[in-house]
Amino acid sequence: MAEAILRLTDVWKAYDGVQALQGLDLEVFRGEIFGLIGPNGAGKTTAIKIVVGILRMDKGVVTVGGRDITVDQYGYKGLIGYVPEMVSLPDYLTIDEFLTYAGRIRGVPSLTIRERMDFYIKAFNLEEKRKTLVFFLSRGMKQKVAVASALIHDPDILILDEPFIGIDPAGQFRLKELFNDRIKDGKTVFISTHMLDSAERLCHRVAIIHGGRGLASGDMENLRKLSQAGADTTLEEVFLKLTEEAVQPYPEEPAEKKAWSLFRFRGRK
Amino acid sequence: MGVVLDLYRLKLKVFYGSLRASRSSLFLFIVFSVGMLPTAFGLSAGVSLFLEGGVSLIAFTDTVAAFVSGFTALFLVSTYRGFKVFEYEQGFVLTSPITPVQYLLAGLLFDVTTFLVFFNVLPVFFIIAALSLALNLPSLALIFFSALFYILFLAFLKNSLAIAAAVYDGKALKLTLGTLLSLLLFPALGLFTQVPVSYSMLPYPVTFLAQCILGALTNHLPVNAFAGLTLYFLASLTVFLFSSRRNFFPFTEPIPLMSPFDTSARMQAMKVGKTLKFSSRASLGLTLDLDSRSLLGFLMKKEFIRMARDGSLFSTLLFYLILSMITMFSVSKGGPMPVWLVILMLYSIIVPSMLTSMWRVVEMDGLWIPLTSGMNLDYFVKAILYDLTLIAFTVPAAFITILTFIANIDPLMPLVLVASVSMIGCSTHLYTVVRFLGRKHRATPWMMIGWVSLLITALLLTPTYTFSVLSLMWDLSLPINAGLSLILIIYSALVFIWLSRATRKRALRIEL
Repeated sequence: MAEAILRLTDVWKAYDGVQALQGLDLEVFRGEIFGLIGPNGAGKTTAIKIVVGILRMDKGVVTVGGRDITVDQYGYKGLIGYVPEMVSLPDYLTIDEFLTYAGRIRGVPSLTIRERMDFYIKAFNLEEKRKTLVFFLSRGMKQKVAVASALIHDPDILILDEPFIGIDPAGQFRLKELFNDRIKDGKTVFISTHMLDSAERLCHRVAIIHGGRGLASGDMENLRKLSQAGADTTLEEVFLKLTEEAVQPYPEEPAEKKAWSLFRFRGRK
Repeated sequence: MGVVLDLYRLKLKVFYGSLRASRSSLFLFIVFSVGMLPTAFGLSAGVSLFLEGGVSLIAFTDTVAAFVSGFTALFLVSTYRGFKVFEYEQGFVLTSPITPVQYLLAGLLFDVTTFLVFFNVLPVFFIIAALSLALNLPSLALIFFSALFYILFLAFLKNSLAIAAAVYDGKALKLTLGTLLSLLLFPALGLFTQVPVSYSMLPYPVTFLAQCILGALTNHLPVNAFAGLTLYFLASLTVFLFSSRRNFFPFTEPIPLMSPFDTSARMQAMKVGKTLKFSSRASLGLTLDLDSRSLLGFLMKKEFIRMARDGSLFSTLLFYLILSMITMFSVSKGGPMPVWLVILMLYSIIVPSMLTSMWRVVEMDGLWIPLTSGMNLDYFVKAILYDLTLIAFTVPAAFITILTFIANIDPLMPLVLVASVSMIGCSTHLYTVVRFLGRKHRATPWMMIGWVSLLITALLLTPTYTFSVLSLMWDLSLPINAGLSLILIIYSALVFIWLSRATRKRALRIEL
């Protein structure tokens, strides 16, 4: 069985009393393209933010490359490249300067930064714009620059939240090619997306989450079995079937949160 | 009228909306409001002292008129560029069956409410003055109606001019508007230079207002001035009623929500965008390359490049250039040195606030980059803090050094002052900004954060200000001054180090 590069076990997260994640379990293996799909508010972005370390979970265990992210709070980030859903880059830097910055803060040697910068700028057709301030780039170009910055340290797992939004068809094709190239090198790609047809064609395995819980995960064959669908059922049909069937019991908070919550919100109640 | 009140309520909810989003926002707003009250007490006490000393307030008509005229200038100058509406208004309000008159009336109510919220110091001042000076009823009525007529005159004029500029776009109209504004704002010149004109003799609306208010404070009733002000009010009302019949909706220009309670800071981001366009046309000069050996040096260079390109450095240079010109003017007129030092004490505190809020506007949305990189955030915080402090100190220090030679001033105290202000100011502001970063405090308006930072900075700077004032009052000798300066620098450095550590700890807890 393949080794898990990312594992989420019983992860809980609440925002102001509203449960965003309710005991989410996920497992992503090395060398695969993994898709996380779910309706709006399912908890996809929350899960990703917890993994990349910009949000703290209330309860649970997350490991990246076997390292517990609450123990090794910074070191594990060297294994990750991240592109958020709403890409916001420093407008006042040129593409070259931004990629240099991204490389330096990740401790990449200067020569390597230069080589990878040249490679990705060429791969994304950004040669003519490399001395242009990020402010003047289109949304799609900024997305490409963000992907390049996430790859500058050659991470083991590339995590992208809605990577295809705002990118033209040619750019999307190039991005998918890049993902496939990376898994050939034994790397992992983790994407969260609403584009189910793309996820079906691109991802080796998919997890469907709803209401902060995992509904199903596996390859297409597994998902069809789980949803008791026919052999030619699409991911979209499986997704709709599973999410419509999903039972949503009253959210139960983790045991150790209850006492604290009672104390904290007594005034409001 | 129901539609007008509905729109008025909507405008209030949108403008002040984020105050409802968190308790901290509401708390900070109360701090802001209460923080203005000492100004009202100070003004009232000043007026009472003047009157007790037998000074005639009427002699200050020109000065008051010049100040009000300056405020009027700020208020009216935007009309030159047409009628601006917020994006949400253009999308949802102007596409509804609402008429221009209804829209303008709701706007008028909103403008008056907002004026009273932000200038709450004025009604409080008049209440205290009325009580302490034992004003009679006619005087109180005169103050109330004069202020009301002038505020409405301004609001009517602003709307009418903006509609005219939007609908009848053309050189002739712009020229007419420009001439009208110049004439109206002429008394403001008195703030900057000696104008050989006594405004008391001219039928300016600001002069009438000043005569009414100052007359009422001394229990005199200037009937002619009040009649003049009423005429201006009625004339502006007529123009307003005429212009509000025109459908100007298709000629409006949308702008992002511009509210001190707005948390998106999109308006500021747009301004930064304009500055970036300018800096891209000019030679970029500095570039962020791989030459810096240490990570801290590299990050400091990056921060410096940001400040050079987003306008922070330029604003600081401009700010101190204006202060230096005032100093030169003050010294050349034989004015005492303390006047300039007092100006420096009062205004240098603004620069750290300005620099830090600019960092927040430019960098807040991009914080995911350093936070997900795995780098030691100590370097990140240090680089920002060191650069902010360096700019906040070196720019005024350079101006002070130049002034030492040109205006022959003693540089010790001003240098100690700016060193202390830059160390304490930048570290306090950065700590407060980082404290309020992240999702839990995202709803806290930037203006409120800046206001609290200024209050804390001013409190921490109390020893510095005390030293500056005592040194001037007692004319301390150089060795004593030097010794006290050293103590102050050590104190400021300790505050800087303490807050720098606290900021680094806070940075580790930022959630996005």
